[in-house]
Amino acid sequence: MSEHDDAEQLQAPDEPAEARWKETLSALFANRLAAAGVVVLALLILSALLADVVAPYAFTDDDLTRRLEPPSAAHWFGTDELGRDVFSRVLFGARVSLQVGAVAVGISLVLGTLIGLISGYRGGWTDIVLMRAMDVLFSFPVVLLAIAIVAVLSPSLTNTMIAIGVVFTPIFARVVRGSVLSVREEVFVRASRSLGASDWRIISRHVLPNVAAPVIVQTSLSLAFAILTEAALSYLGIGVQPPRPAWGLMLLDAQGFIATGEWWMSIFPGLAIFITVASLNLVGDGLRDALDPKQRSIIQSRGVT
Amino acid sequence: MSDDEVVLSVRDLEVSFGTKRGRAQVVRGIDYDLHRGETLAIVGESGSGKSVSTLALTKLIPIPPGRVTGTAHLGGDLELIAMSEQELSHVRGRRVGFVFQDPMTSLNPVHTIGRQLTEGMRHHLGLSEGDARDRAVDLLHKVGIPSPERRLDDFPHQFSGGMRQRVVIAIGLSCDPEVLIADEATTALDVTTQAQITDLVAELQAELGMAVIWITHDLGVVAGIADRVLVMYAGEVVEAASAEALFARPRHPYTIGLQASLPVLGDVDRHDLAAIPGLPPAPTALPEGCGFHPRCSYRDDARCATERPPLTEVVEGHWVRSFYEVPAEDAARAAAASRIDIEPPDARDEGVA
Amino acid sequence: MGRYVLRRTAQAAVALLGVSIVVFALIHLVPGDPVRTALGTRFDQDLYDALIARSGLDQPLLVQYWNWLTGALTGDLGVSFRTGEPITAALLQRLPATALLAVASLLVGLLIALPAGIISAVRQGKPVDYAASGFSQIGVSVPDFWFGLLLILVFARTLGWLPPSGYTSPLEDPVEAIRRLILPAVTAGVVTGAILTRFVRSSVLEAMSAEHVRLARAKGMPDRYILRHHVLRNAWIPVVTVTGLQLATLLGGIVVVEVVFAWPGVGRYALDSVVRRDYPALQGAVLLIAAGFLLINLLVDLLYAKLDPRISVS
Repeated sequence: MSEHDDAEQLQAPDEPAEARWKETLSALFANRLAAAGVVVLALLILSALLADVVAPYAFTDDDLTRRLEPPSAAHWFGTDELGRDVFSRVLFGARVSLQVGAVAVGISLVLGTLIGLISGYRGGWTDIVLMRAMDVLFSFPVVLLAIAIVAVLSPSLTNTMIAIGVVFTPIFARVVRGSVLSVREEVFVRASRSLGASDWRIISRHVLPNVAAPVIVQTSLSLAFAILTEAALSYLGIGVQPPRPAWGLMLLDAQGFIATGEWWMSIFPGLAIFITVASLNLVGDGLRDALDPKQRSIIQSRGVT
Repeated sequence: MSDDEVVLSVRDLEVSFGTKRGRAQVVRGIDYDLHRGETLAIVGESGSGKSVSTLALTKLIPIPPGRVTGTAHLGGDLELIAMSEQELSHVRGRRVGFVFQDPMTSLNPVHTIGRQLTEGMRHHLGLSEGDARDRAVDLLHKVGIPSPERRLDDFPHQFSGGMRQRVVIAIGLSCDPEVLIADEATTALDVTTQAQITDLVAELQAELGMAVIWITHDLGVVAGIADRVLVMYAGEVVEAASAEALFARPRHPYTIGLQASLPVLGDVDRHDLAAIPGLPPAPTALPEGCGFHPRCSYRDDARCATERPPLTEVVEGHWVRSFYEVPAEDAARAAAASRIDIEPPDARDEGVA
Repeated sequence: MGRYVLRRTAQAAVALLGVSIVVFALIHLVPGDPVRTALGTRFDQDLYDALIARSGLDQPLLVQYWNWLTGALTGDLGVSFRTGEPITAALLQRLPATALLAVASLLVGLLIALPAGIISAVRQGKPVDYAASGFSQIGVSVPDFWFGLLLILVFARTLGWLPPSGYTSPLEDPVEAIRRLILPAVTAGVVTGAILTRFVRSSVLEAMSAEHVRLARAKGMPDRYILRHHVLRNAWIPVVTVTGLQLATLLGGIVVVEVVFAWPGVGRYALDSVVRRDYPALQGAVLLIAAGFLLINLLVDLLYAKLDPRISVS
């Protein structure tokens, strides 16, 4: 036990974690675009959670007497070919998109971090085998691999999440492995090990805090990409299935009505995807700038030189 | 050693940068004359303004946010500071050559060294490709690169650090400049290579007659090669003298501190290595009064904290910017003077490997 | 250099082998009888028996994989469950359309990204820089199929300038082929251009901050010369790499654009095979696209080695 106490003396040469997060957050909010992204995201999450309360209609409420109506006071975004309120469906669509994004990226985050940790920490054959496997998954174009997986599992909400989760796993595995490799040889980690600290202790106290920053950045950027991929799969008819209101699915429906001039059916769901993805990207870029000390020093020094 | 002909005459040179925290005064009025064949060393810590003061001469700093005022007459006729970018491009490389700190990054990795050596000559001197190549071979030969004909078509990564710095020197000399500015040109090299490079420059200088401004933070490098030394601190010259006078009788408290911090040959433990306490001031937050007074261990005058001391000629040719004259019997001064046993530059070993 | 080519090619071959295993395994994880599912209501015992025999589905999995792999290497990807026709022929027939669209999209992307990226780097912090980064932020966030629908809405339906969908071979009618190519190529090209703009900008900025650029300025070389020979010449090595990778990405992601514009390419063939549960066809299409993806990546790496003298010598 006393060895562990010794190991504890060898603190990672970092600022206290709390101060670092505070600094990161203030740097994030100092970036106006990123701050705007955070606000929009918060609104999106709120409307997804409160869709039942906020939406004027249920997403299945059809009214064939009011088919294909343009936007009006009663139907802000117009109605679709079954007389359903597009605004309400876009609100409920946020729920689907955010859910798919969160679960899918959650899957890749957990799987990828585990694989990356094991691979980087163990090294040797474990590393080679795992990384070759990741390389193979990486050798597939993203959408194509998702299509193939969904095709095998049959299209559904759950399978869409699984497919996207698998597709994004290699990115996380690589990011985590890279960080682990660079931390593993740091003096404080080697010292802890020589003092007999257990692997788990080293990983939880030294490695994980150091891989957190790149993983957080990757998570927010992957969320954006996962939501885009879900929309694409649903648009292709092999993602989320009707009657669930997914934005991609609504665009698939809308395509048939472009020729006849019902523009609102295609404008609003697409705009919703765009706004969601753009705000995630802005937050991701902001986080990267805030967390990457190299970038940060460039920004800070820009004023001083 | 030095001719009487003045090749570069700098007056009231000021350089500042606009920043979020106000204007940063990086160079606060420096004057000097550089004579033909002379070696002038500008010494100071990083941030003292020593590099910026020479880069600013040909506007090699970003403008804006940078701003340069004062005058700099080159060869008696051309005034550089007021020149347009267009006019300056005929001075840079042609009449003022540069050698930068890191030979590993000063050369473009994707072009052969021949290409990088000849492009300036072709541009400034209008040489044909063949003539430029011939001259490049001569130059490489001069800077001590073996079988230059063959090496002309090699890429920078095929050379060692010291060899690369020789190539960079060849580039700096390629258009026969009147002034060669070597900005920390040996800092990135190991000690042996350092000595070779300083010797090489001294030798080429004797042969070609150009004036050299040697910028360094390392007084030790200066000792063997400089004719005159300017010591810079917080953007101003705090002491200016001939190398002999400066090393034998340093008079400014900062110079004394700087010299005392030099390691002595044989003093392996560096046990009496004295460091100046504190850090130089940020150019946006310069202290009232003397720029050095917050770190000064003498500070023996009421005006130190309130009034900026003038640069005064205390002995002929020896200028000091201080209210307080460090007495000759001062222990620190004596210790500092003993650090460097200066020998005349001519007596140095002339061998180039 | 020779060893590098060999090593990198071997790596690509191993990756392709891995890809083929994954594709094969994926398809054979399908529960139930794929042939029966594929035939569906048009079930016919003779056709069924013929298909089973021709696909070798009565043999052990390893044998099936071996036959499929050796077949694929000799250009035989088997027959479609749906039509009974050879898959290789069907894919080859669709490949030109996909290649044309991918290359045209990449050209559109480069036409946007090169000027936008270079100008915004040279004028860093100026309005034009902000405009370019605004564009790329929008471009990377916009769903390509929605953007395509918008283009159809505006340029085909409202203005009537261009056909909304369909493909014409450039060999048959070059003018019509180009008219039909414009909207899909712009759709995929703008997204590609947005990604590339960011990249071009950051590599030019990085190249501009190099010490050798400062030395070139100190040598008195003219700005245009420095930009061309010491900045762009250095920046374009990573740009070429990423451009190649983008072509590979386009190849894999173009399925969505092909669907929007009813473009008869390999991607749509793959998607149709999914919908029809035509697994051998899907298997073949995925293998072809993944192989193309790997091949482009390989060529890009080799090109990179050729462009950077530091690699070619070591």
